[in-house]
Amino acid sequence: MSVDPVATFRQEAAELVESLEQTLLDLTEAPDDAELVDSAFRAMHTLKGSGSMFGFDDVATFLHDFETAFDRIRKGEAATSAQVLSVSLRAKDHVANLIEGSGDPDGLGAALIADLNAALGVGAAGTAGASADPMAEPEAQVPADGAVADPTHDGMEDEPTAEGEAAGDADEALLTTTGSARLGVMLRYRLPAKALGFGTDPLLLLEELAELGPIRVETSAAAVPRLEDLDPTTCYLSFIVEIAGDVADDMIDDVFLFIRDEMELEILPLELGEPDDGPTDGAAGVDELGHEERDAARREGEGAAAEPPSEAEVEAAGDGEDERKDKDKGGGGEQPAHEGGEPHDGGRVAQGGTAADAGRPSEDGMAPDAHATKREGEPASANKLPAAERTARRSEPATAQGAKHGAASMRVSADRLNQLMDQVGELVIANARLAEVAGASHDQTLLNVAEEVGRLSAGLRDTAMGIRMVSVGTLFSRFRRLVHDLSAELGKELRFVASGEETELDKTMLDQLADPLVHLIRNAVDHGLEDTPTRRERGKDAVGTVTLSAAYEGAEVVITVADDGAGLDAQRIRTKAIASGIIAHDADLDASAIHRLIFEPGFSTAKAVTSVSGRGVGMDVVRRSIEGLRGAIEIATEPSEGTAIKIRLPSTLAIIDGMLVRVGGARYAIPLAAVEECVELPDAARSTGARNSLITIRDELVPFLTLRAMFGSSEPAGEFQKIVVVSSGDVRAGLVVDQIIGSSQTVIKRLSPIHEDVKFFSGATILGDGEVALILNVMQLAAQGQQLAKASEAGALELAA
Amino acid sequence: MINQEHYLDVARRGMSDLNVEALGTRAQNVMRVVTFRLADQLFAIDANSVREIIEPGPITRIPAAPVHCDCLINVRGAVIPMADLRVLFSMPRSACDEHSRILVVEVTLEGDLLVIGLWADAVLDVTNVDRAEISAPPKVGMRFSPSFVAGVGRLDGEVFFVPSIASILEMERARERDVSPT
Repeated sequence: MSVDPVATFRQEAAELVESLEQTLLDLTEAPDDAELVDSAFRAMHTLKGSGSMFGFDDVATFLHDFETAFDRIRKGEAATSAQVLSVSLRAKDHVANLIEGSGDPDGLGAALIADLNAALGVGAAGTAGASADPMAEPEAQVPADGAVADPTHDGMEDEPTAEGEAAGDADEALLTTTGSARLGVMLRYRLPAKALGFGTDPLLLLEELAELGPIRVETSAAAVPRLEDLDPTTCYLSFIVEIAGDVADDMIDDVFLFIRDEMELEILPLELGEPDDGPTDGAAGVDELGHEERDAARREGEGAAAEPPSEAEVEAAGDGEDERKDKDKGGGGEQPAHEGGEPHDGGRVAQGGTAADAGRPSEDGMAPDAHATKREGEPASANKLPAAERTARRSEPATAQGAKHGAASMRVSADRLNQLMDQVGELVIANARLAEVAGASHDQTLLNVAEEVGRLSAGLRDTAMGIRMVSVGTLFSRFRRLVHDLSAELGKELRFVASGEETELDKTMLDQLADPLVHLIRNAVDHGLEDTPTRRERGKDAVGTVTLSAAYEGAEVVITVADDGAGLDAQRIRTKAIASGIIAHDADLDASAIHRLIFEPGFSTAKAVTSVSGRGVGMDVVRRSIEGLRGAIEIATEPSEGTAIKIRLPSTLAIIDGMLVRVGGARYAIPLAAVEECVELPDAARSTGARNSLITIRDELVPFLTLRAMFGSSEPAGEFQKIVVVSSGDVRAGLVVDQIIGSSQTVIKRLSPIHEDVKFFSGATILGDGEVALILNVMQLAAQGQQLAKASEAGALELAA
Repeated sequence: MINQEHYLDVARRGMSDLNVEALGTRAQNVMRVVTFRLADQLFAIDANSVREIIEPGPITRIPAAPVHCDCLINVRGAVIPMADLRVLFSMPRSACDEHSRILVVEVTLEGDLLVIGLWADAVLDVTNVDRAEISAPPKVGMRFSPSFVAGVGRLDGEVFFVPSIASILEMERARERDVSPT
């Protein structure tokens, strides 16, 4: 399978666009946060760079203008007003559209830039230029942004014409990104193994680096293997490049744009130079660092000197596994030695470390982690740790480091994950069989092995499942924009509160949840919340609140969309339902049944169809999608207090702990997390043989269903029938089974589409002996039990009357 | 998914290349089929859609499922629904004996590739049938809906049906929905 670079670009761009949106939304809450402005700027810049490389010239051109305008905010020439942010959000949407390839036939881009400049208070001349010729604009408008002067695409952006001004700006802008001017940087990098195959030319990279300033290059051939092991398409060299001058990390990142994610790259600032330090000599004398920093650096130097240098060298170059894992820390440790007066020693140590790594290309597993660490961990601050502590940290397990930088992650295709899950599923089944065989054999050694394998496979199962689980926060954050836009569109002031973002759901499930939640939130804002004057009249907080929350409840995840609006108007719903022919005009319905009518197809109470909601297509679609996920939807509403819509979902679609029961001749699995307790079936209940009835368990009436009767089992009932009490939310129901067999790890296999109408079962699983067992759909059965209980209650009342 | 389908595709092509040794015109005119018997009726299905033929193992019945597909089997770790053509073609459902087999076949249902098991009272042969000799089913005089059958042909003097699994499943599903609207 070849990788389509444009598709990769789109994928990555989508993430950047999203992060840009989040940053802009964050800015609406903290307009003065310079860091957020920087981060928005960086996102735009990276997008621009990669966009132009992949031939998305329109994206690059537009972003250039967008960026230029934003640069004014960065420099403090303009403020981040609400208007600016609102235009910026629209501009971000425009970028997303351009990336999708929809083009810009209406000249929307120019208009947006004009709006943005107007909002920023830029003179009319610039605005006119913007609409007249977007390509000419960079010069016409603002001095070209030196900070982002990008050696790789200078040509297309016509920047050189503005060079004189750019140079001046560059310094100023750089101060904001890096905090202090650098005298130079030292890069250590090794190209990804496949880089040459993808057409990366190491010499061109060096030339590009040379454009950033005078460079000194050292290469290490230590990793080149023996001739018979040599793969001519792999680049075995590692490079150490020192660049003199004030070079921002961004610029270096741009050089390595396409290989950045795969390669090993360390960027270390050269802050203090010693006479024999090569090309940075000249700059070494100029010390622009603050006293504190300088002192810190000196202390490090002393610390490193006190530590026997040979030890550092041995450790860095050593072969031990730990050392490999900790190589980035080793790198941090060497640096002070280099600065502190033993530059060559340090340099050699660095090479040794790299070489040691290169020797094991197949063990690259750690690379993404290490890479992420390096990228975000500011080398400067790492250097400030006292030497003793640094030494201690080297022996820390790599996982501690990983946890500290929790953001380290890698992209894996869903296909591979699915394969992994399938294989883990097979392993779990095979393990169940092994346990059965071992149990039957009474061979102690075999039993021990089986137990060990069982433990390992359970651990593997949990890990594999964990990979698929995604926190709902990733979904929730998307709705901030929605609420922001709705608020503006409908003129309702509102607050969006999200909680329980850490709750995890299976990725596939989360993806299918997005649309239903959009509908629910729209409804809450449009129908649920009263408009601001009405709220004031009713003595409520003028600002409405929409709450989106997630929480675990037993085996389920509950997602709630709540508003503090007017609540559902039962009378209006009823009238409307009668008018649209959903119910008969004399239908006898209780309040909750009336509320549920809003999920009927073709129902809408909105007096006017707005662009937001009111077409009556929302809620029934919502209900169907939730039921498609084997979930349930509930409404709780109080007049003038608000409405809460609860979505109840099974937390996983993959593997669960199950309780195995026998009904008639067949075995069934019940999700263990849904089981509350098991009790004997009382004799009285058995004799009636009814399909369903009620039982009192600890002073509480629980309806129970006789599964034998429901499943049409012809075999005689077991002698010791049990009631398994299951719950779904606050609904409880008992299931009468013939026998409780035990617990088992249950790999959920979805039923084929042919059986999607079968509601009693949520899936199937394979037992240890290879037989297929069905998994009971607790949510459905509990709801059914509840209905029957209500029906029999009504019947009893009638009898009493 | 794309990957898997791709491999299946390649595997299928490989299979037909091997099976139909003569290329060119002959390959286009000849269909490789698996023939099997249900009650007294001979059936033939495209060999390329048959993944494997297995002996019946433990069967799990699904309560409250439509009768023509009320069973599940485990085929090497995959849970596969069984379709019983005997129900659809109004034939008696006889108990399993030593000749009973399950044909594991691939069906494309509403765009999705589906693997299902088909009961066979006996699997007879893998053979070549001239496409020209397979004709459309007669519109009348059959015990079942004509759309259940993609074609009718003759093999050694005996009439065989080529069942159209996808349209059978689709029609039955639509019918189930009509009977019990959700």
